[in-house]
Formats: sequence, C-alpha cells, structure tokens
Amino acid sequence: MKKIFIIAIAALSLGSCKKAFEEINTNPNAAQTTTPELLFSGAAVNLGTTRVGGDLYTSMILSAQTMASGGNYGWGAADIYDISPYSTGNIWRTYYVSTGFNLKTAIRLAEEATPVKTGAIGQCKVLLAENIYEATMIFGDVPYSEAWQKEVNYPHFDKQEDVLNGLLTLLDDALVNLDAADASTTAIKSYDLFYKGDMNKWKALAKSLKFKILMTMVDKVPSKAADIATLYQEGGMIESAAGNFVFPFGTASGNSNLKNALLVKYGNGSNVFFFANKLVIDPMIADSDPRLSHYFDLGDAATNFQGVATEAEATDMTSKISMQLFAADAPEYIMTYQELLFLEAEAAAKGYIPGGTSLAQEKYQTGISEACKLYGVSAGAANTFASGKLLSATPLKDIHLQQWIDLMDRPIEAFNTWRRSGTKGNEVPTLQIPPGAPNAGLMYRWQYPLDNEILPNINAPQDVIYYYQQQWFDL
Amino acid sequence: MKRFILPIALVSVCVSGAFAQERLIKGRVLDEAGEALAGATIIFKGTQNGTAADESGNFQINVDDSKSVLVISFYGMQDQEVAAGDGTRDLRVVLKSSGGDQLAGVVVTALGIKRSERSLGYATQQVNKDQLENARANNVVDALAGKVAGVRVNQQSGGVGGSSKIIIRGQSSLDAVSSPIFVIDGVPVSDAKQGMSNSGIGVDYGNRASDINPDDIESMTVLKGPAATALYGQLAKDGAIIITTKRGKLNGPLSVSVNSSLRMEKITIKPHLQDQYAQGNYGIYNLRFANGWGPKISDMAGTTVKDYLGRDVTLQANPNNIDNFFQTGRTSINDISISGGNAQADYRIGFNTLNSRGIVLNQELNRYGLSANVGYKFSDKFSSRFTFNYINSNSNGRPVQSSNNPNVLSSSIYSVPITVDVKDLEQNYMNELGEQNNMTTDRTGNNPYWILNKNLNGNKLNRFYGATYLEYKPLDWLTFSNNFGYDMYMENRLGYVRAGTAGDMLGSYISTDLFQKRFNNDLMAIAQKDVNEDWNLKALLGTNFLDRRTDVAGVAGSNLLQDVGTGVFRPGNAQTVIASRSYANSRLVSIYGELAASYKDMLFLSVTGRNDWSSTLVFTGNYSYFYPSVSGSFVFTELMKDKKVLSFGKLRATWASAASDADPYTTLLSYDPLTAYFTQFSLPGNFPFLGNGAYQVSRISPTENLKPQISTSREVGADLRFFGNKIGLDVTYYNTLTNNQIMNITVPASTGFFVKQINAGSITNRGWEAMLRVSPFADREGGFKWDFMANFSRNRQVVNELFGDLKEYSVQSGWSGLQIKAPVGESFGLYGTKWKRDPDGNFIINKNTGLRELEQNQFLGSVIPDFMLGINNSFSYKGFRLGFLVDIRQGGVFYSGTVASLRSSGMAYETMENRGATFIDKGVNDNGNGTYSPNETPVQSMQDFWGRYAATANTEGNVFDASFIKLREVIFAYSFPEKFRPFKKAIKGLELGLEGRNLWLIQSHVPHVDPEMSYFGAGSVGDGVEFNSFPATASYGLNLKVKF
Repeated sequence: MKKIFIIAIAALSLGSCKKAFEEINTNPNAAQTTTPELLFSGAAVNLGTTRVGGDLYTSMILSAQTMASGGNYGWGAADIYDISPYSTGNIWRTYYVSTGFNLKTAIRLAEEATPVKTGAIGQCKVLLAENIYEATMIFGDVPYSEAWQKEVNYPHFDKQEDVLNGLLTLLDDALVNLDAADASTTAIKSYDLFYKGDMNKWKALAKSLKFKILMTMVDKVPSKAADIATLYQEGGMIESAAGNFVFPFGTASGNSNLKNALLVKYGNGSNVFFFANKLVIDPMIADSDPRLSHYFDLGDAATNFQGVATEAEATDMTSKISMQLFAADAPEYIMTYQELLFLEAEAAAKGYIPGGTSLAQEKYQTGISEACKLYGVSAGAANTFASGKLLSATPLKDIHLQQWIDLMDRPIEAFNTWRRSGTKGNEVPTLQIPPGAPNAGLMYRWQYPLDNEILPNINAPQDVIYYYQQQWFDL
Repeated sequence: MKRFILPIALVSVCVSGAFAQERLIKGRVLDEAGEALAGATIIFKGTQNGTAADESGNFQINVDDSKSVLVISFYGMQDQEVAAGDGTRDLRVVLKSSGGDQLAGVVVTALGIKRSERSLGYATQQVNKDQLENARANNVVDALAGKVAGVRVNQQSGGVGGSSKIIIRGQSSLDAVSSPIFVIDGVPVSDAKQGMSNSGIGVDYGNRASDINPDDIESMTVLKGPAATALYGQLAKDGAIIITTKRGKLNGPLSVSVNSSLRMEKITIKPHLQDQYAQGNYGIYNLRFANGWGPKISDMAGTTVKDYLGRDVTLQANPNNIDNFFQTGRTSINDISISGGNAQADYRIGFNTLNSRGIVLNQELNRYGLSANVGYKFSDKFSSRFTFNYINSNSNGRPVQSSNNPNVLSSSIYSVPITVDVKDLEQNYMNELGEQNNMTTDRTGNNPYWILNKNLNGNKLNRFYGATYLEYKPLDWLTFSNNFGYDMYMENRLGYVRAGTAGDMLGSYISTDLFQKRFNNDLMAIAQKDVNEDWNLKALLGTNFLDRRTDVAGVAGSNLLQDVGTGVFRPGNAQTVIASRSYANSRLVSIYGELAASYKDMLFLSVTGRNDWSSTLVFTGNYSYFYPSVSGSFVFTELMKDKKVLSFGKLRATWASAASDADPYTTLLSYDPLTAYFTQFSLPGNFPFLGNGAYQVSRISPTENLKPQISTSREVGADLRFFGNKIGLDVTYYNTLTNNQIMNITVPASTGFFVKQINAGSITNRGWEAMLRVSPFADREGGFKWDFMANFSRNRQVVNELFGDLKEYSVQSGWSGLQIKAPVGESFGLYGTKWKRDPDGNFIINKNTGLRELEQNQFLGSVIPDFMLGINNSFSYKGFRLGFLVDIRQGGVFYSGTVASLRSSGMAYETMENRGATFIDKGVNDNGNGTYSPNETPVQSMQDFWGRYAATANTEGNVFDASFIKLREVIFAYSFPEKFRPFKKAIKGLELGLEGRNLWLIQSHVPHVDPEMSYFGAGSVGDGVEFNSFPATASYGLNLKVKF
C-alpha cells in the first residue's frame, strides 16, 4: 500500500518532468543565435577600446617610452618593463576571444546566411587581419592556423613568418569578398563605425595593411621587396586622410575614449599622470614643430615646452600630454594615410619601389604635412613646415624620426616602427633601459600571458621568452 | 513559583478539556542529587511527540491512552520509562547518570529526523542554545567559530552586517565555495552571498544566514560530511547545519522570556603609524600627496606652509588620528518571546531587534525579526506544525573595499597625512557651497569624511521563510509526513557616489534588486518496528521537490544630471545608464530511502539511496543520477563488564557518496547581448556604443554530455567516555574525494573561449577531528564546576588531478598577478610575484637602483591552515559562570593589501627606519654571465625602497604567516537564585552577564591588520587575501536575561 502510494506520487511528479525541465533550463538571458553585424559591432568596440585602455595603451606608452610617467609626481615610479600579467592576459583575450573569435563566428554566420553576406565576410577578415597583426607584433609567435577551431583544444603557436604570410592570404581572400558584385549590398553598414560599409575604403585599407605587413617582413625576407613593388604599382591603397582607419569615440560617459575616462575618474578630469618624454619633445622643440601645442600642454607653472626623461620626476614646469589627445571624443587611429606615406618613403629610399630619393622626399614631406593636419595644424602651417623638411644624407633616420613623432600617441605602431627602424642597438631614437628596470636589455616584445594561454595550452612554448629577446622580423 | 504556574495550567486544562478526553500527568524530573533537570524530554514511546521539562524540572503532559509509556530522557542520563497509567499523577522521576553507559543524547539529523546519538555512523557535533545565547554574534555563522571541530569560519570584514564564510572539512570544489546547507526545522534556507551585480565595487552585503536570529535557536547540529547528509542530496554535499528552533510546550505555562544585550564595538587592530613625517615627495612638503613621504616635521619647526585649505600653518603631528576617526560602535540586541501551550497546541512567538551602529559615521544595521512556531494536534494520529519567520533588515554605510575606487575607506583614512588632523577634516569636509574640500590640492584625494557622509552603500531586505508540516500516523509503527518549506526574499541595494567626489566628479549610483525564491517539499513515509527483543528495523521512503529561482535586476547610472539635496538615484537622472538582468531557475526532483536495523541497541546499520532528476542537466542526457551510502556503529562497551574506566565506547564507520548538478543554462552554447565592455581600472564602457548594440559568443564553452559531480566520503571514528562521562573523547578520520568536478576551467584563449565547462578535477580532503571534553566535577552538586572542551581539526587538501595534462588551475584572481591556484599534488596556494633569488637564495638586487628584482607567478604558500584548535573553558560556582573560548589557527599565508598601502605611502611606523640615511639592501647583483657579486648599490631613497617592497604588484613583500591565537569569546554571568530575585512572583529567572567577542588577538604575525580578514568574499573559493578591507571589530557588553 505504502509502496504503491509512493510510486504513484513519484510517477506523477516525474512523468511531466523532462518537458518541464527543458522549459526551466532554457536560458532567458541569452540567445541561441545572432547576426554577423552584432558580433562585428562588439568585436570592433573591443579592439578599439583595448587600444586606448589601461592594459595596452598605458603600459605601452610608458614601456615604449613615447610618453613619460613623471615618476611619483605623475603616474608613479615603477619598473615600466614589468607589465602586469593581467594586462597581457586581458590584451590577449581581446585579440583571441572578444575580437578574434567573434569575428571568426561572424564570418561563419555570414557564410551560413541566405544570401551569403559576402561584403560582411570581407570586412570581418580585414579587421581580423589587423587584430592578429597587433597580436603577433606584441607577442611574436602566436596561434593562428589552429586558433578558434572547435576540435582543437590546444592550438599550436605558428611562427611569426607563417602568421604574417597567413594574414597576407587572409587579406587577399578579403579583397576577393570585397570585390564581389554583391559586396556592397551584403556589407555591414550602420554597425561599421569605421567606414559605414564603404567597400572601396575597406579595399584600400586591406591593401595598405598588406603593404604594412610586407614592410614588416622585408628586412628578414628580402624577396618580399618584389611584392611591395607590385602592390605599390597596382595602387588602390589609402589615398587621403578620408581613408584613415579610425575608431571613433563620443563625449558621453561609457562611449568616451578610455584615455580620457581614466583622467576623469582618477585625475579630476585633467592630465596629472602623463608627460612629454624628452625623446619625443626635444626634437620637436628643436624643429619648432607646429604639432607641439597640439601634442602637449604647458606645465602648470611653465611658459615654455619642456620634457622629462623616462621615469624621471616631473615638476610643475614639465609639459603634459595635451587634453586634445586625451579628449573624450579623441578618435583612435588604427591606420592612417601619413603612416602609409612614411612607409612608402622608406620603401623608395630603400629602393623597393621605383622613384628613388626624390619619391622618398615627396612621400616624406606629404607624410609630415598630413601628420600635422591630422592633429589640428592648419593646412598652411603644415605645408610650410613640411616643405622645409628635407631628407639628409641619412634619409631613413629622418623618416624613422618623423614616424616616431607621428606615432607618439599610437604606442603599438610606435613600438613596431621603432623595432623596424634599425638593427639591434641602432634603432631610432636610441633608447636607454628605463630606471627601475632590470639590467637585462631594452624591451623588444611583451612576454606571453601565462594564465590565459601558456599554462592551459600544452602546445604553447614552454620556455620563457623574455621581453628583451627579439622577434623573428626584428634584425 | 508554583502558585503562579498553577492557575495558568488549570486554564489550559479547562480549555483543552473541551476538546478531548485526555488526562493530565504532571511530574518533575530530577537527577540523583535532587537537582532539577531543565529541558529533560518526556515523549510517548515509539513517537516523537511529547514535551520537555521547564527550568524547575516540572512538566505536564496529556495522555489519552492509559497504555502509553512515557520515555523520560536527559543528556548524559539513562532513559527511564514510566507507564502512563490512567490518571493524573504527580510523578517524580529521578534519572540516573548514564555514567557514560547510556547515550541518551538525541541528535537531529537529515530531514529533521531525531536519532539517538549511539546509532549514528558518522560524526556530528551539537551547539546548544546556551552556547548561542551568550556573547551573541550578530551573524549566527560567527557563533560557530572554535566550537565545532572541522568547522572554519572566516569573518570577511569588520563592517556592520558583513559576511562570514563557513567551510566544513576543507574546500572540496575548485569552482564554487564549499559551504554547508542551513536547514531550519527540516527546510533548507538560503545562505546566499550574492555579489553586487554590474560593478566591481567591493561592498560586502553579508551572507543570508545572518538573517537567522540566534535567540530562536534551540540547537544547532553540525553534520560534517556528505555521509551525514546523503538524504539531503547535493545541497548538503559540503555538510549541513541543522537548526531546530525553540517551540512552546504542550500544556506548558505561559512563559515570557526577555534577553537583552548592549554591546560596544571597537577596532581590534589599529595600524601602527609613523608620526614624524609630513606629506610630500622625497622629503619635500607637497600637498598633492596623501602620504608620509614629506619632510621630517621637526625639521620644519618655525616654517609656515599652506595646508589643504590654503591656511598658513606650522606642521605638527596628530598621533591620535586613528583613535579620533573610529568611534565606538554600539549594538543592542533585544529578544522577547512568549511561549506555552495547551493539550493540543503549543506555540512560541518571538520578536527580535538588532540595532547596530558601526565604528564609523553613518554605518548602521537595523534588523527586526518576527517568528512563530505553532504545533497543533488534530487527533492522536494527525498533527501539524507551522513555522513562520519574517525578517526586515536595513543597512547603510557599508564600506567600500578593494581598489580602483574613490570610496575605498580604509585606504582613504590610512593615507591621511599625519600632519592633518582628522577632527579638522571632519569639520571642513564641505565648503559653504556644499562642495568637497579635498584632502589634496590636485583634488584627487577625497576627504574621508566626505566619503562617510556622502557616498553610501546600503540595502533593504524583506525575507520570509517557514514551513508547514503535516504528520499522519495510522499505526504506531508507521508515519506519513509532508513538510512544505519556502524561503523568499527581496533585497534592494543602493550604492551612490555624490557629485563632487574625486574619481567620480559627476556622481553615479548602482541599484540592484535581488529576488530569490525556494520551494522545498518532502513527502515521507517512515516505518519503524521492534521485530523482537533484539532487533529493530526501520524503513524510510521519501520524495523531494526543490525549485530555486533568482532574479537580479541592476541599474548603473553614471554622470548624474543634477545632484542636490538628498539626491535622485533613478535612471532619468543619469547621462549613462547600464541596465542588467539575470534570471535563473532550476528544479530538482528526488526519491530517497533508508533502511536501518539495530541489534540489541549495540549494533546499528543504515543504508540510504537517493535518485535525483535535475533540470540543469536535462540537455545532457545525464539528468537522472543515483547515489548511495552505508553507515554503521558498534557500541562495544555493551560487551564489557567492567566500565569503571571506559564507561562508554562506540566505533563508527561510514561510506557515502553525493552527486550534484551544474548551474542552470550552462550546457548549451549561447550568444550574449552586451551591455558593457571590459575596461581596466573600472572605467565606464557600455553598449550601445555610439548607437550600436552588440552581441558576443558566450565566453564559456559548454560540454554537451556533462555528467554530475560526485563526491565520495569515507569516515571512521570513535566516541569514548571515561570515568562515568567525566572525560569524553571523540576522534574522527575522514577522507572525502570529489571527482568529476563540474568546473569552468581556463582554456587557452586561442580556442576562442575564456573557460570551458568540463567534468574534471579531483580533490581529496582528508583529516582528523578530535573533541576532548573534561568535566571533572560533573557530579558535584551546586558547587564548583569546570568544563573543558577542545576541538581540534587538521585538514589536508590535495588536488589529485585537473584536466588532461594541466598542472595548475587558477581558482581566484586578485590583481597584478596575485592568484589563488590549485596545483596538482598540492593544496590551494597563494601565487604571485616573488623576489628573484640567485641559486644560493640571495636576493638579486638591481645594480642601478639598489632595489630587489622580481619574478612572476611564484608559489608563496598555502592559504589553508595546518590545524585549528578551539579551547573552551567554563567555570561555574553557585550561579556564577565564567567561560572563555580561545581560537587558534596555525599555518597558511596571508596577503595584506592594507599593509601594502600603509608602507608604500610612508604611513607605517616601520617606514621611518633609515630615512635620510644610506641603506644598502642585502643581496647580490646579477652580473649577467651566471655569476653574482654582493650588492653595494644603496637604495636611492626609502620612498623608492618601500614603493618597491610594498607595491601591490609585489606579492611577496605583503605576505605574512596567517597563524593566530584569538580570545574569541568571554562570558561572565550570574544567575540570581530565587532568594535574591526581585519580584519573585513574576520573575522566574534572572541572569546578568558580561560578554565579549574577539577581545584579544593574543598572537599574530601580520602587522597593522587582523589576520582573519578576507577580500574575495564569502561566496568565493579564495582565501588568505585582504585588500583594503574594513578593519575587524572587537565587542564587549552587557547581557540581561529575564524569564517571566
């Protein structure tokens, strides 16, 4: 009797159990699928904000020495080569998860859509190429060919050469997508904060990015010079500042540039942390560079511009990084016209492309002029300044110095260019080991994040690769 | 006294007489010395029905069957059976001391089932109301500290209403805190520790077990392993705390009890600050800095400088700043209860208030609780019980801890330059316009009084829990029962930062509404029968239904449009609003059973089994799972003739397993709509971004065929009593293996995910628990008595394996490389940066700076103590009682973020050493070729030295031995005997006591802070880390108990 009773109760409660359980366990907080547009949107914001955030930007401006901490007067004295493993981990997660995997998934969803969203596929591939280019330039050998594969638990790290060649292939694939007849109609438009779905601009960016990657590789692989020449002669790269690859910010809190948000939150809205590094400001002062007042604000008690050495104590006379660069809506430049012009000047000076010194001179001056204008110098003043800048007997040094100045606020590109600017010990400018850092050497890379990749990945390099060891591309 | 009771009793009898033909038996229970045995139980044999003796040992019970047999029991005494007979009688029952021969103690086990202690095959430990009513802890969890072997309690912070974490027999899971279940009158209730949604703000909102009023508790039984709790299923896999609440007595007189305490609280450990150096940088006075790195005050004598308000002052030290800042906290706890009963009904109604004022301004907690416990017998066979609890709790001024937040109180107060007087800061925190007068000239430093007065975090909680219990007993050996329990609460949290706060100039707020609901139903049948004189058999079959639901809605508003008056913290008043919503629902349906047999009250064997069906695993195909247990005990002294020395001895053994499911919604891949993107330094970042919303692929890679997690526990123990129960020794060895753990393991980010949910990992917790009780004068009547009790436990945790070839797993991340990790072959440890050492162990010192060099990701020590020991002494003499509890923890390491701040800012006492002098740190320089030479480079300044040594990013410099010895509780009470009692007619009992908690940190290896703090919170697996935590408090006060 008792047993029958219990069994009856049990049967009653369990009979409808599974169906009820399935309803109960259906997640109301998240979706079962989504669109390429929405994933692209999130991926782009993560990449754009990481580039200006406390993990990447703040660590990189100090360790690459494009700006100065001002010691305890400013950001605080420390070992600026000691990059927090959380920062490297967060950056790595942006490249591989928040941006990389969401772009990869967006490409899959675009391929699965009817009709296939060809334009969107192209856009995602170009952004993915930029994303992984940044990753490999910071960390060296990185996972690429086995990354994001469902069946691979422990992706192998590809050699940097293979990664860069893979990115060239990815960009070629993207160009095919972007060239397709239905590219414009199937592009990501309002969710594309860069170009609003303009296929021509995406194509120009894809080609310019290829040029940049080839210029990164050519020191190590001289045969890439031929590809550089071909690409240059084909044309179709960024042709004006209108083609700049820019991630925009707004003035509203939560959409503002994180460089500004940091000052708002911790500095009462003014720049009390970051100062003009003598390595940048001294040559600008010597040149009466018209960008001085755009790059820097005078020290609180100062009447003229004055820099401070890396990690040295600033004073109220020291020039600060300007609130123009740290404005809430200051855009983040990921690839610019002048960056391409300086690369072309380099290529001409080195003879990779025809035109020789005169083309180098022309690209160099246009580059300076575009650089000045981008940061707010009037067209007239920019042209006047640029036309007075002539290449010397060491044209590459001149070009690299201008790149160094141009890229002060874009520390990833500054660090990449500085490492390309000469063989070890001959880079432009010459850096010193910062006070507080070990005597082991200058920084040539960032160390891998242990927790988010090296330790859980049995196929990851197991020997520690130190920050003072050069990467493959770097002579 | 009798004259007062009698009329009430008569009334009760008259009233009850109208309903049933029952007869009243009255009696008194005494021990052999003639002393009343208050609380002795009188039950009808073969049932759980009955009553208990009052303070004077008197009882009354209605009997309707003259054949009934009453069993009268008292702990440590032999049971006595009395035939009810057929009429009103004045029974005088004298119980003989069991002399350890008889274990009459009754323990409440799973599902509220009472069982005799001797039949249990596993270790339990009981904490009685006496141990809870004195030195009452605000949080019932704290009251267990040191009182039960194997139980580790960690108070997370000293703020009023802060949370406490309780772990029994070690952390068993890599992913979720191994907290025991709280069961009140057979119903599991929530001890949730929900973090604040939608923010990185370190505000401790408490653990929900703290809603339980200690005065309502009759007894707490701690069931330590899954062995004890196989019948509860997965919720009890990490142990259970079974609470029985007080109830009235059938035919009991109307009784009113009042218990009042007034307590003062003060900070336990004050940081030891330097008092000679002003604020500044490298010895130069500078108002930009809130620190102690300025000039020596004595060197500035006669020099006038500007202070933070622009006034011309000469510098002087304010060594009493800390004392002046922290006030004396005050807590009053008042409890009043009415209880009684007639022949059919018993009742107890309690009202409890707790009003607490913290050790800083505007910090307060007000808690009100109403409880009712009513039993009613419809007939001999059909009875019911109804319990109801309502809690209303309001708090404000909960301190912000952690970092990257302008409101972190301890770092704000501990960085007030010694040349600034906090009383002056208090008077001048606002100007005439209501704007803040910042503490530093660059307006990045908040005046701590601005934070205290303006930026508050509080919550309002309304909670109901209770049960409806029905019991039907068709035959004297068969019982059907149904217990429906519910627990639901709504909590509204609001934290705001007023405009004008450095770090958040326009102001912001976060409001979170939490709703939690649990329904639990147990339907059971129990059959128990003496088969013959020797054998007793018992069978139990039951089914359980558990539905849990949480709904959390959060709104974070930043950049307020206007902020005047008392402020408007609503979405319309903020430029940026991020809303979040998280809902979770899960359901478990179970069938369970137990078969038990006993032979001659000497051998006991019990087998249990349970099958669960879980909604959270429904998509995996593994949503039905079974787990059994078997336990037995052997009272071997039954076979012995001579029991003079060893009076009672029992051996016990258990094998048990428990399975548990996953979190809801985790077994399928999902796409998350985004409201925010990650930023370092807690900067605002939200979607829509410039008008665009976004999605992401979930960062958790699901496992489609996930299986339940299994823990298997083995336990053996002995319960030995010597010299007629004057000495008791209870020893347990246990080994708990948790396998197949459902956990989110960090995967290479290059796979596209942060973590993967897997079945992996295996952790063993094994250890010893020993309880020694010595009561040498237990049999001495009325005279001096001494009771000694020691609880020892040692738990050794080993991570057996993780996932595949994985060698370590991060269970909790802090900042700048600090982590709690689980390495294979070891226990959970603290990892972080460590000084670099040469092969001989010398510090490697940078040749340029003279400062030590660091390396990342190094092991710094285990966070788990080697052993814990609680020693309780209680002395009594003629109504006087003195008790004190010493709590000892040995081993483990502790990271202090507060110490890091105090030292790196030049505020700590030890930073005065070597200032202005040349200091060469002992170590070697790395010559870069594998050789090392002695360091000769002096440190450029002590500011640099401490800036490096005590940097947050440098873990080792801030790590200490976590061992401590604490005087946890002190009680001194006097119970007035009748002749000294005022208003004897009305007042039946009067006790006055002095009580103290955490009064004395007898030994500690951590400077400046209490070593017991924890930053990660009660809901986290991590331990051993404090990060600008609010200081812990000690309390002392007065307690008055009156019984009418």
